[in-house]
Amino acid sequence: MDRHPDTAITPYLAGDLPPGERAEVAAHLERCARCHATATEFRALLDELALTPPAMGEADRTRYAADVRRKLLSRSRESAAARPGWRWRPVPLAFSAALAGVLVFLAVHGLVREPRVAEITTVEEAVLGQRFELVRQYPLIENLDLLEDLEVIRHLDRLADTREGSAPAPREG
Amino acid sequence: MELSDEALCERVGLGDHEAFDLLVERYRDRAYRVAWSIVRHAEDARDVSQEAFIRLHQAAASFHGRARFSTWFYRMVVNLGLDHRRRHRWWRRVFDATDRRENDDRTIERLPAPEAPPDEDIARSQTMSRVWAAVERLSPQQRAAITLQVDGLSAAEIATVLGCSEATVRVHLHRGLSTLRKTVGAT
Repeated sequence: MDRHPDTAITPYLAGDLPPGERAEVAAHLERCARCHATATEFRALLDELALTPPAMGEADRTRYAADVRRKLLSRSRESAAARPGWRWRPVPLAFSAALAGVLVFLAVHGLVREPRVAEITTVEEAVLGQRFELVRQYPLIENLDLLEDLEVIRHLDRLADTREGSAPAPREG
Repeated sequence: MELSDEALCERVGLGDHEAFDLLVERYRDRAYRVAWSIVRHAEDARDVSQEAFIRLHQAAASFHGRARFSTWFYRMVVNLGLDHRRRHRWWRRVFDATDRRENDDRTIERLPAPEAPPDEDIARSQTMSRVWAAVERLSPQQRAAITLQVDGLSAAEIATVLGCSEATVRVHLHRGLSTLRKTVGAT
């Protein structure tokens, strides 16, 4: 070990080094006066620190354990006192559950669906009912989008007559 | 036969009040010292250390002996001390110019060294040993490392408690003791 093992001195003094490193530091301290003096003074400082650590006043030490028990008991009581709150919590919980149930009901029964779908179905039924005779031309109408081609359907009979060369039939109503 | 700290902690987890009282008795002074090294205030150190015992009581069932009890417990004390410093920072800004430079940091590693202790701490430190009075003026990292070293923790354990590497712990110890050497030697 050529360099000074500065940061290894304290672990060395504490017996905290692995055997190999410990032997190297020990050998260095024997031949290096500077590091030997450092280790000696560090040892004295650590010994004094161990003898006179910061301590609580005697009164605080005496009642320390009782204070801890009192605080622990107080925390337990606070936790237990919080539990009766559950008596009030079912009310908002029930309200939330009821609201969720209403939303689920609405979703299942289609009230949140696009209203246009129901209207389209109704309109389709109404048009077909008025133009029941168009069923005869089913191969034509089955490929039509009813609402978009409503105008075509309205004049379908007229278109058929035109193809055959006859004059268009007058509009009804 | 005296039970180990780990065995006592396991019993605390099972609801053994006597085991808890025994751990409090064993670690009362050490917990106070470690807390003091973080908060540097006697009453706060007492409160922080007591809070650590309460947390111990609540968490004992989850200890499972994964580490040494002292390492696990000291880490709790250090974290509570750091939380205490963060919570009381606004108060310190108004009444204590010493901590105005300190940042809102998550680990002890990033806490800057204090400029000078407040007047009340100077008065208190006069009743302490001269060496501990000098420790009070070290950086938080060095204070904590030296306090834990004096309590018998290895560098690896100190690293676990402080959340840093073992090499960093060695540096803190060396620099802290070097500063103490100059300060105490000069008085």
